[in-house]
Amino acid sequence: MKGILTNNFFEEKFMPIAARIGNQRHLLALRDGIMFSMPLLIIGSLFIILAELPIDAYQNFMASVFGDNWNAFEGAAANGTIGIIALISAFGVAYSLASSYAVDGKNIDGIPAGVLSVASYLIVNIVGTFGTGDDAVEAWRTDIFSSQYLFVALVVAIVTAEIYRTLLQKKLVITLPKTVPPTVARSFTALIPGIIITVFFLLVRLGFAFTPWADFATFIQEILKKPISAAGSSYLGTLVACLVEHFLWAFGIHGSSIMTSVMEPVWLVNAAENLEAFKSGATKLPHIVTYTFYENGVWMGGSGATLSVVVYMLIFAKSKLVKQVGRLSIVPGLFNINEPVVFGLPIVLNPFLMIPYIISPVVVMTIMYFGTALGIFPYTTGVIIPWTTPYFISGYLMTGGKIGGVIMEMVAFLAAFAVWFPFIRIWDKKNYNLELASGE
Amino acid sequence: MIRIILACAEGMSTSMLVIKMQEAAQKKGHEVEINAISEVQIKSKADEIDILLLGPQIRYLLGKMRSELGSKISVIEVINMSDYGLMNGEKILDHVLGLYFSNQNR
Repeated sequence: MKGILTNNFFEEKFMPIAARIGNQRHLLALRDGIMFSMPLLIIGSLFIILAELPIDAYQNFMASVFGDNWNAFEGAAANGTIGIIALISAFGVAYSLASSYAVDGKNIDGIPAGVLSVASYLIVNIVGTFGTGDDAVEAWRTDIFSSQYLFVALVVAIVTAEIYRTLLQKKLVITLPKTVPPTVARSFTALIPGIIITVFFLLVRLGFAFTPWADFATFIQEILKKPISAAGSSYLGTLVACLVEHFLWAFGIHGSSIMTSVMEPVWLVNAAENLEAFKSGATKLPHIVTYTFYENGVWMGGSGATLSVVVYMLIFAKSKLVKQVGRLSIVPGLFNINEPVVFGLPIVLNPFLMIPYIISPVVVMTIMYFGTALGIFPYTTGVIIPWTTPYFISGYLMTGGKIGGVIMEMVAFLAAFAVWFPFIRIWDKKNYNLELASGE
Repeated sequence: MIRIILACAEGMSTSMLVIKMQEAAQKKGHEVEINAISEVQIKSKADEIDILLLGPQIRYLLGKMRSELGSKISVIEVINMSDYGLMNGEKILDHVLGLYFSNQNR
């Protein structure tokens, strides 16, 4: 195929950088560890959608059958699922990170690190006293379990796993004879590292009491969460993420996976904050950019916002190749998977088709962002649906059952097509002529 | 039975190719078992894999996989981009089985 970049420049210079990011164990551990709570997020969202669906007939019917408090399950379901993402991630990230290290050529068992990380997380969080006199109870505030404090949990998890694996690698453990059952041995392996980690976080807790922040969690919220969150929620931050993602894909590297390992924590926190406001009936939600805004809205039929162009290829393409890519891509495309387009058309290392591939998601994202900011489109409520949810349905669900969300996705669908159309027409014609010339 | 595993970021797009390869294997009467997994699962399943094929989008993992798992898995390859995009299951199957058998005979 002519016109496709054939030099090895990118393979040699670019690939090692991508490999380094893609293999960066802390980023991987963050991504994989947070994913532990993904099923809970989706389940919790389902219950919230059920309770909040803004259809009067439905709401009235449910109230008439089950009484006015019919949707009381919403709070309990959300608290026990979406509400514990920080706790689950504290375990998941420490587990994933510790497991990525090895001692004597054998991978470390990550479970003790995960357990210690949950304990450490609870140690650094302040227990408050509520009420007065004999009725006073000591308790943790429930928001420390939720996404509000996710960043604190992530920091604790990484620090715990790093201390844990260092001690194991330095052989600071109690080793029992081989005849002792592995589960018993495991509890002893964790003992010395566990004591050291606990003491460490007790000291952290004590130390921060003398700082202006008063406790460790507040310190992390101010120093880390605020700036990262502000950058990741802004138009500019999202634009950079979108460009990096599609630029990587254009060179055949899984840009989505690499980009989301950095952005997903931010977008999940934004989603959860929107959800909190949405559940309490707020009229204006805090964030435009959330997990669903990007992974359901911008990934229209997959990276590169390719759904509309796939429909075009399927129906109107003249060349065999383009038509075949359309046929292979339409069903996966409905579920936002489009590797056949990326590698088959191809877009990878193809300087001509890279242009619409990179521009169309930027256009979609820009329309969605400013359309939402100007009040034309509804905010995403933060309910988490899988990124494989078919387009248009996702627009309805992610905005809490608003037709405006579907209209937003229809506008995006047409806008992406407008970007793609001139390019795909030329590419189709070129391939058609090539096929004619080669007598196929 | 030769156990072939395809891996990509989430094991989703490769699972489409798995079906195409299974069809090709059935047609030609190869004794193979083909499955798709996500990149995260590779390490834990290394003992149950004879041929490991990486989706081209995670080809940056090839070096790492070969150095870590090369002693356990005899063939570790990246799937050709255009064969992957056009879901050319038969061609990929023939290619990797060829590599596998030539490794066996060595």
